[in-house]
Amino acid sequence: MENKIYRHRASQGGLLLTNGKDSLGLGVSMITYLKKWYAEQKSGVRDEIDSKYFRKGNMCEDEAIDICAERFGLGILEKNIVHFNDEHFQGTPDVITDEFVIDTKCSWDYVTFLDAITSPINKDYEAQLQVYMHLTGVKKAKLVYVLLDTPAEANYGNDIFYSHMPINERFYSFELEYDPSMIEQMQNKVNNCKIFLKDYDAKIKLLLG
Amino acid sequence: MKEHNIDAMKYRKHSHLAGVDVAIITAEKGKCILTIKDAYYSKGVDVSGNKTDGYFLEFEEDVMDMVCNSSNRKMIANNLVLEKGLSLLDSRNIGNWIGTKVELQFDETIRMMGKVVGGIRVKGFKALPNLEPGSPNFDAVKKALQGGNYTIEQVKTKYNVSEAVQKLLENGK
Repeated sequence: MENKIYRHRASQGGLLLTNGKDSLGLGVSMITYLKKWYAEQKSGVRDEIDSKYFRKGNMCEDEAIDICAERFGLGILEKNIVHFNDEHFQGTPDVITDEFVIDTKCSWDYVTFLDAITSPINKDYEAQLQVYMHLTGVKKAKLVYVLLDTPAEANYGNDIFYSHMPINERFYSFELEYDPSMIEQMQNKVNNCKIFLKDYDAKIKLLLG
Repeated sequence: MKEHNIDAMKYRKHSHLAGVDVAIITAEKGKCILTIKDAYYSKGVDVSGNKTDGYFLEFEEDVMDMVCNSSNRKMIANNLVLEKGLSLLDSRNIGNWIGTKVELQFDETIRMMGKVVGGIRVKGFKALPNLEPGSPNFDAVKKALQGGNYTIEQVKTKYNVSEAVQKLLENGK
């Protein structure tokens, strides 16, 4: 385990914003996440997350990016495939332009879409985009919610259609700016995660050799 | 007349269009695009030996009728809303489907009674935005084409590009 460097995934950035009552201030969710990460690294076995929501997100990502290109007047956008990392974080933003990074969220249905856009910005996604901005050096970001047709393959054989609704009624973007203080807070928390993992590793080795 | 090098399932005994037929047509012609001649509901129809109540499509082309399941009926209706601007109510009236072209695809992931059996899926119509000269999108696309990053065919998968707009994009005038 000593040579496995812990770099927190951008998509789990929200976990770094909570303050737990434990000595490292990690919180129960963060500790559970770290124990899972440790077990995966040690065993080489990783749980594949799968749900209809996750499948829709993956299947609709390219279409969502095309819609972003059109709505933002950027013509054509290419999905980013470069994985970024530094001492603390890692992640792969959906899209990077000269001016901003974009992360697309394909809402499951109209209820969740409307709820997302009328609520304060989701803290997990905000943290995710802050990490992307930090890793890429781009100082602005867009968190995009879009409601697309649900492919049958994502929903047990049943398509759900929303494309009869105008796109302006199914597309919304939150604008974000780089926040160095939030990054610093998360970096400190990642340092604490590393301390936890070192202690946890020592404990496991003591028990199992 | 003898036919060689053909699909082993092409001349099997069957009563209605099936996924394998769509796969064969697609292999032969590139795409399986058929024009609906009639759309109807009928009871007790013999579908490969089973008496079936259901919706059926008859095509102008020389192919068998097709059983039209609920997923494909929803897809045809949605396509009519996007393609022809029909209301949701009108798009579901199967009388309005006559004369419509549908692209059929063989989807090997389709399940029936818990088993993966494969089947026919109507391809969804994708409503593309128009690329308007003078718009930021037009300028960005033109720049991308001039930079050699994209071809006009790639652009056409994302935008409706009229002949006049294509000329403007390609001539750079």
